[in-house]
Amino acid sequence: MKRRQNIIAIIAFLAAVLGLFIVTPSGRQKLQNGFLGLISPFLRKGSEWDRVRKDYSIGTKRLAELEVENASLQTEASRLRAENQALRGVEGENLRLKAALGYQNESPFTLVTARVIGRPVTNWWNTLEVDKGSADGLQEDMCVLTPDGLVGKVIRTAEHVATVLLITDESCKVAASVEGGKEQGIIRVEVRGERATNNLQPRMTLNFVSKFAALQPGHKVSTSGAGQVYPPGVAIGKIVDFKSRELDGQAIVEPTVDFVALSDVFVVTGMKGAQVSK
Amino acid sequence: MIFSALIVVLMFFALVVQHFIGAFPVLGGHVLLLPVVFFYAAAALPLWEMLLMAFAAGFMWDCLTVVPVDGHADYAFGFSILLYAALGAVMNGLHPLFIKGRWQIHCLLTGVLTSLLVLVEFVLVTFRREPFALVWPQSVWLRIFGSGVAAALIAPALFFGLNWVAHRLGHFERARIAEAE
Repeated sequence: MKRRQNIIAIIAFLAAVLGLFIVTPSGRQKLQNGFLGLISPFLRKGSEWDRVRKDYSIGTKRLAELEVENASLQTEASRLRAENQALRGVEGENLRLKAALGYQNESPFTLVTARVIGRPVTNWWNTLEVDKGSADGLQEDMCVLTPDGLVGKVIRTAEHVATVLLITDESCKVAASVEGGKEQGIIRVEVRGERATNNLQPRMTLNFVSKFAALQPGHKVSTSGAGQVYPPGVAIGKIVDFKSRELDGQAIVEPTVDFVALSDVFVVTGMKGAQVSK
Repeated sequence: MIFSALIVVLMFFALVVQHFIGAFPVLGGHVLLLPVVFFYAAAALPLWEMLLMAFAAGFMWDCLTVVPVDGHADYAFGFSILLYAALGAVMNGLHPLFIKGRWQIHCLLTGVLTSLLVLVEFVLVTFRREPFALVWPQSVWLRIFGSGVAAALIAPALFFGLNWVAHRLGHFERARIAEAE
């Protein structure tokens, strides 16, 4: 009796799994989006509690640590004030040039601010969840960035939550160019050994560049705009090494974004008034 | 059935909490709570209910991890269900021992099976992604090991708590009667 019950259970189980295997991609996406919608309120709440916990642990730092930190922050503030003064001059010049060229005095991107509510949950995939979704105008393949540079792209959206594929995931490839249009190539995370990197800040490689390219450490790498997912000119990282191979050259790039401390991001929902095409 | 429903709810919240835990110190593997709860269910429940739990756990896992990039995912949606069922079957083999109140070995096995789960995922990812690179640096082993160690450390407390709930609901008494039949 028990054996018969088990056989029926196994057959029913396999039939149910088979049913999932033959679900169409759109059906699967609906299932995933539905689950993302279901889990999102709990992720939001969890994220709030996590922030409270972090704030509390910061608050309990010892006084000596805070004094050192205060001194360091004052120095940093002085440096930023000086930098701000310098930038005012640049801003004025920039505005004059924009006016002269007839550019609109606005950001080139239409941005939606989103808060990170879920960190990578697995060992081999680098994704995170943000608290904005389709109801806020987010769509798949929209570029995600911070003031420091490129973060990744939206790969899944529910009503009030979206999943972002980080550029530090192996699946993510970005068309990139080196400052001054020196070289163009495809940037992706270093595979060998880095798949199992213990932090979220792996180095990346810029591939398919000329083996004779005069690339130096410190050269900035940004998106080239090819592929139409990522707008051109978004910072990705800085070159730290370059090696010539038999057929081409490969540059090692350090990302400019601190993926470990990522808390708020911007999603590019449009460019200069036009919606980003998927 | 109440106990099974409770386990499904617990697996869901384990997945939520997992988002905020991060990696196991030094070794680096992620602390995976969902598999720990699932392996408890696999030990405490009969086969057909274990399969139900495997379906729930694998479905939830794939909903978050199967990420089709440019139309290609690392594995088919639903594959994790089979993986959970296969590993759960190993644990379910020790179900008679578990309902007799001997669950220490199950805690250790939870660690081993969690490591195995991460290992299978890595093998799949390695075969699926390009460029194909069958490399096994130490950091990979540490990650696989780390997730297992974390699971084995969490398991006793979780098993203890869930056993208490199971006793309150009379689950083990019913299971022992069913086993005797």
